[in-house]
Amino acid sequence: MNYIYVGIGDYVVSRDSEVVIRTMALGSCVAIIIRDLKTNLVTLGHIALPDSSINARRALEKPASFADTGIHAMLTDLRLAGYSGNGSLEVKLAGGASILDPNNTFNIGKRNLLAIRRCLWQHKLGAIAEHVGGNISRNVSVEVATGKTIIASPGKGSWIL
Amino acid sequence: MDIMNIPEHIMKRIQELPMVSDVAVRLMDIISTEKHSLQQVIDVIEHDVYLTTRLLRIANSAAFARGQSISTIQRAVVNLGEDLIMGIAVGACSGDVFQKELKGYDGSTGALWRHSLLTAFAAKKISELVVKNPPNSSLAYTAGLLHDIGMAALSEFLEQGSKKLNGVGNDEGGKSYVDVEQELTGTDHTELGYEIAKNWQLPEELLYPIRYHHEPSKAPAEHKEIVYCVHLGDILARCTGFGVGNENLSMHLDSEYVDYFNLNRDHLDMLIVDIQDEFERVRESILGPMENEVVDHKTILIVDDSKTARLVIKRCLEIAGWQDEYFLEAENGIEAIEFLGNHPVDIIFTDLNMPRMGGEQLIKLVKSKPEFQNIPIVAISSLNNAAKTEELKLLGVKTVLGKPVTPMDIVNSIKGM
Ligand SMILES: [Fe+2]
Ligand SMILES: [Fe+2]
Repeated sequence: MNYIYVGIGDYVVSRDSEVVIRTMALGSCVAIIIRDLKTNLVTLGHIALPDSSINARRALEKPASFADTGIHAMLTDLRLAGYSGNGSLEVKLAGGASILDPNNTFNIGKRNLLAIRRCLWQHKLGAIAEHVGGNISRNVSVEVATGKTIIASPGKGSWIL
Repeated sequence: MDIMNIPEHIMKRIQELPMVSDVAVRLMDIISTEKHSLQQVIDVIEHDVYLTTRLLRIANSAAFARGQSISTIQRAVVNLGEDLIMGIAVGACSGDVFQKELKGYDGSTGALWRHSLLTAFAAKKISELVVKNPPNSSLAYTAGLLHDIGMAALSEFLEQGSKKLNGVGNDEGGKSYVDVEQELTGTDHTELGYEIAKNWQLPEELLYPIRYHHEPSKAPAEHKEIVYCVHLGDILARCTGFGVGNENLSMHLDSEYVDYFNLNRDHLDMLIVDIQDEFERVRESILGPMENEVVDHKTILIVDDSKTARLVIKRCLEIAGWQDEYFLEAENGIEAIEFLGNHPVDIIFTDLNMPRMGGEQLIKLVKSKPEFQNIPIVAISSLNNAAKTEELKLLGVKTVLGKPVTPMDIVNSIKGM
């Protein structure tokens, strides 16, 4: 297996059946995984913040830093790579953790999830599986060949999503 | 300083902790004074052959050298910058305090140092946004580097109770890990960190952020600014996903920080991205490629209706060096199948006679499903006869062990996995 690592604000599209796409240490960030069931294309993006209006320049350089530009870029690249745009996509989400913030002053994990769900909905998409929220850090890997998605967290074990 | 009640046996261990090196302390002293010269920094480094070699190597890596070859420590210092040099010096010259695996927190090798470095980046950036009496930004950086040294000392005392820490705060109303440390050991990493810093004779301004970074409102008024810098730095480092281990993000944000900074939510949001970018930039040079850092734990499914038998297998595996893997325990085949659907199992150890669904049926089921059929199975049989063994092997079982199993049996059964 060949591993491709996705850093913060990056995304990868692949249909190479030898590839596993990975992203490490998701705290308040969220990994969006989109798979086209027809072509076996998989994309994984490591989204850091809810909205690109906070830093337009970065949105151009690294669109997947933000929910809105990230989802747009991932879907565009899926189409370029052969997704025919007829509703064969499967979406999974992982991450969006929060620190303990009783007064809800900062809640960046929750804001990320909210923004991502809204953007997905605007593209008529919704997640079929999620492992989100709470206050754990997560690593995610996706086997391109099968779409099998595994979440691991320090000291907590690993799960299939 | 409020009263601390550190248990005596823990206090004794602190005294035995390796000292941070002279070089690192001297660098801290120099860098955190407002007026110092480059030459002072160089003079200190040049006295340490190990640090000099290491800095030259990092300065010559792709991220910093930009195609030039850097042969003097002078050029290396300019290229890397004082802060990063401080970070490298603390990481490289504190015995293995920052590098060792912290089992009590399930923290992998180097995890404390990574968390500390990210906290330092963030604390420094935040220190530039303090409204009144801004602390020296190099001091904020150094405080960020050192804030969690207490974890290195407390880890071993948490090992017994680490299961409890694992369960901490998975909901919003959860406890912070400092509370759990207190419950389990009678002290916490901020109290120990404070004592260690005193032992190391670190500058006094560094003691307060170490002691109060989880409860900044309790810090003495004249030190509140730097303490809040480290508090927020720690929060941001955790938001990037780089905590130390299983304590993850379970710490409280003190929302009174707003009184000290010219800092809105957008600032904090962008800092999460900025510090990760800064970290990514140096990571490869200092830590090597990401692949080296990824620890893949195996997930092992143990199926037996006897709790004792499951424990025996687990212990044997731990003795065989698999102590850091994830163990799943099922009482029968039905439970085992359920686990297989939800967890990425790497190997199955199964008993044969169990209620509801026995081992043989489980083996047949596993071997009939394409998604499971490649998982190696070790069967443990009480009927120790050749015919049975042959039958199980025909079903696709990798190894058949007779009861009672010995550590040696288990070690042999997992050879090469
Ligand atoms: Fe801490
Ligand atoms: Fe920390």
